[in-house]
Amino acid sequence: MTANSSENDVERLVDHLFRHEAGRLIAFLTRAFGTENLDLAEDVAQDALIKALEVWPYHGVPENPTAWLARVAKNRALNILNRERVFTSKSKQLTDVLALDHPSSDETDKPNSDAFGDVDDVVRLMFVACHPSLSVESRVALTLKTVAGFSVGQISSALLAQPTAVAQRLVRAKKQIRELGLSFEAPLSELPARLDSVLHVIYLLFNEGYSAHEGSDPIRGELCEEATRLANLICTSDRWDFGRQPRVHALLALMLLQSARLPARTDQGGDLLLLERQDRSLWNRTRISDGLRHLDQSAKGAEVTAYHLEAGIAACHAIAASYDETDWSHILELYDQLIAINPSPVVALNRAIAISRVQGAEAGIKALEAVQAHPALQRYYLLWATLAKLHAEMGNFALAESDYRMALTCTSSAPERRFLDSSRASVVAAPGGSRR
Amino acid sequence: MPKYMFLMHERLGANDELSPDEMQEIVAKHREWARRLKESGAYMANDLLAKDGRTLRRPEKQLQVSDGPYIESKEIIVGYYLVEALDYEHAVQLAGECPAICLGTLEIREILAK
Repeated sequence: MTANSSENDVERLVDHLFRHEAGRLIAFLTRAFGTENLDLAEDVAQDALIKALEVWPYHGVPENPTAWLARVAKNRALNILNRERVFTSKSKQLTDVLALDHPSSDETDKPNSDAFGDVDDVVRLMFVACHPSLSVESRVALTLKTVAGFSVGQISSALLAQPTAVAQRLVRAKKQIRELGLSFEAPLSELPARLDSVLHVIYLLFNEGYSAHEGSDPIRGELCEEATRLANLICTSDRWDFGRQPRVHALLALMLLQSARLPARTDQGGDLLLLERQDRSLWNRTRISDGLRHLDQSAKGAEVTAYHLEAGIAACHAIAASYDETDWSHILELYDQLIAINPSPVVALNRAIAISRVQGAEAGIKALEAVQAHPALQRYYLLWATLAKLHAEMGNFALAESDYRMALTCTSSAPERRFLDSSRASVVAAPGGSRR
Repeated sequence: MPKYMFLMHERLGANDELSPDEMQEIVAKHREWARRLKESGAYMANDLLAKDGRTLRRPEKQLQVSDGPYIESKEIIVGYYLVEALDYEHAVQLAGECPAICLGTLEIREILAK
């Protein structure tokens, strides 16, 4: 194997090349080996990456890293097929799959050649990993492991779970897939329901990355990026024409519009900044316009999903010139529709904020008091922080201060606590504040 | 100027538990290190060695050949770099930032003049 060792070959190691290639290799190998051999597919993919780790430092990064890895993985897979008895029944067919783009075609392999781990294979693998029979936690972990190329350690940091628990969850999920006898190609009749499950997992990945948590491992931020990449893959895979499903565009729009604001969400010290205090010039304009384009596409057709409404709300924020110039009445309408589809306490909380912008702080407090007793909200710091802010707006600083103190008892996240501490200090210092 | 050989030893299994991200980082850093080595003019040659091999022994006058270079060893030599350096101190300075060290050890040996 010859490899070019030009001086700038490091540039060929594009961001997360290894991680994304892991997903492509596993997807292709799962097609060859069957979903019952997902473990084997993962092992072979890992072997190919290890080979690159060993060879590339000395020989240079090849002109076409993707084709190089594909070749190594295929050779290894062919060796296994020739050796292992498990495959005798179908090894002829499998050898044909692997031979489609045979190793001898060497350096001229195109990076996206059909036979190897193309977009459709990766999408198929997502459908396996997100099968509705698996628990939601398993779907999320399995997608991160097999499709996104995260290690168990990274998954546990990303999901704030113990590595052993993640490992066990993965083993269980793969066992279930074997027992279910899932085919790599989902039957057409199951596609709509299974698409919803895939989109839900992507949505969860995004939210997990978007919420600010303790420790702030950088891998958490990468969840947003990864979720957006996966949704893009689904959108561009033309085999099933998912690009014509409005809800796929709605989800993509939602994630693009939300993540466009990420660069402005914390100050230089890493502290959270409220929407109203963010420097809007830091928002990613390209993402916003991409998001708005997908929002447009999501409007083709009659369906209105929660993704549509959330994306619509995110769009109102993204296009507003300032906090005060935000179209709060439209946001409130969208929340009214959203709460009809998804009557969750967190949606109710956000709707109350919109009410306070449209009808005033007092109406907002009333709306909050109506949902406050919900068990999911009683210990939710944002409920108390919101009440505090509205009480302060009404000049009721003593109540605001005690609300902030309640909020502080509800979170252990360092950035959230710093934010609450400084908010509390500002109401204490306010004229007529409860300084003691 | 004296020549030195950097012998790259790798711990058996050191690669197995790495995440794809970690692998990519090691490759990128190794290539950067090699590029700097070349730019500095110290670099002369490098090679990667196959991991299988043969080990010969002759206990009791009978030649024995076994597979693998790493019998009874927890590390194997996976490759080498040949460099020119002023002295050991300089050679250590050149080798010090090589990321391969995190997978095992890097041994520096001077090549003795004939």
